[in-house]
Amino acid sequence: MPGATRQEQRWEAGELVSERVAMATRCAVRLVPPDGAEPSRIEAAAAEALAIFAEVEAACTRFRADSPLMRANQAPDRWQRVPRILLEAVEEAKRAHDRTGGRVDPRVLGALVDLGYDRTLPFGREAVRLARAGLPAGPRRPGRGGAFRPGIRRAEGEVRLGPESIDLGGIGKGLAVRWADQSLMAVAPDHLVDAGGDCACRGGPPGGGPWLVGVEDPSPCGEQGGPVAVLGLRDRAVATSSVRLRRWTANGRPVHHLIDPRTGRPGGEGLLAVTVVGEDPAVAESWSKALFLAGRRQIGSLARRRGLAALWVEEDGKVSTTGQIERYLRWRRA
Amino acid sequence: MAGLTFPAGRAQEDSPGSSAPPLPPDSLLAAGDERARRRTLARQAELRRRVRRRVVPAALVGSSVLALAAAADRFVVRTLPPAASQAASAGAAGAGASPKTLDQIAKTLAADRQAIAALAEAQARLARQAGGDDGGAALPSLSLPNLPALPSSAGVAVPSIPAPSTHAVTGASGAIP
Repeated sequence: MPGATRQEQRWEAGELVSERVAMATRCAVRLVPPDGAEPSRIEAAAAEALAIFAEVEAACTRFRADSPLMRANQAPDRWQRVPRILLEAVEEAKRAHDRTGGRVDPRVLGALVDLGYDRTLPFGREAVRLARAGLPAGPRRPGRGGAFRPGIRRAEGEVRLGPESIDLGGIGKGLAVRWADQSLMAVAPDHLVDAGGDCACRGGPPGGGPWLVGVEDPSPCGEQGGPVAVLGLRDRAVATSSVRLRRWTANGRPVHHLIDPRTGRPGGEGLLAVTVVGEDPAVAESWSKALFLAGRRQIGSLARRRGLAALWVEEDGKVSTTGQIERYLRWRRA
Repeated sequence: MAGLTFPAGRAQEDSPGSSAPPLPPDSLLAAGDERARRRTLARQAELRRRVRRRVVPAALVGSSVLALAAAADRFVVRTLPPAASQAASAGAAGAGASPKTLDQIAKTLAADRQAIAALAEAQARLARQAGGDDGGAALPSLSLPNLPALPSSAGVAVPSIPAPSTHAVTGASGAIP
């Protein structure tokens, strides 16, 4: 099973930190045990929360031909029985599509495959250059038939994806963070769930105060310079859409993984990364992607119209924010 | 699927304020964002000013004390009789000097100690003033001639505030290549 790797746990400074790799991401939970809590119970809860990421990956990955998602994609216009996880993910994809006015659209699988992202690529280890003789002359625009309207039969556990196959890359991680977060509430109300930077922060760390989450500098040399900002979060989620890592060249053309459904091409002109703070991790993830795809010129007006707490980094390094995120800012690079 | 449940209630937050009254125009929202941004920058600038207020007066006063001590030393040496001056600068009190000269040296040194004590009191007073929130403390006016030039505040490096350590990082850093 992809991502079924060893889990690591350690107690440090009064909290339990558990980590594993899943969904091509370092997933971690930090639990602050309530007074009198059995350590074994805390450890078991952490293990169950991390297992959720592996379960979501197994159901929703497009990098395995026999995953439930890819089996459904083989005949998307037919009713098919699917695992509950996939059914919920398809429904969340529909909600994300609707709330973002269609900016987030799961029907970008064809465009990603056309650009060469049809398998796991060695991002970060080396520059990825692909040459595909079959690249179409024009982009494949998803959603030619209108809004994303999958069929869902909850009682039967069946879905009908529609005429086009889908990718759940912009949905699955935030959804897994939400479920992991909910699974921990009863055992450890103070916890932090972190899936590759999409986080749910509940309560606070040992010693008080909010959880502190750094906003990565997505510029090419950003890792050396530290974060561009630090957020203090309590009972909030945060998600970032970034093209720092998942970018490659296809037939000599620089591309990345965030496809604009309006054009079928990589979107987000002028932007490197967008961070959104909200109450729910899946909602924050969808808005971070939608804002990114709005591009440098429209991101500010879209974020303000929607009342979003957002921070974004442009290609020239400029960092901008909406007023709503100011209350979460604990530090900002001058 | 151990541990994975699907609560009946789902995330209600589709868009904050989706049922709220219409938003003001973008220009007004943009003005609000700009004010918030300026508030954040002003807070950081005020913090840097407070650090500067603590560092610069103490540095200036410390430099003043050293300069005054040097000037006082030269003053003492100039006012002493040549023989006493030579004895003082040689640091061999009493070696080859008359009792009258030694007495004069003792009186001068006593006055010197009083002057240094007064300067130390002034430094302590200024340090207390610089540590409060009443803004930058005014330096005492010094009328001694031929003092060396004091360092300007522009030359005093104010340390930038480092980022606090974090529990997580949001971005692409958590992705496994």
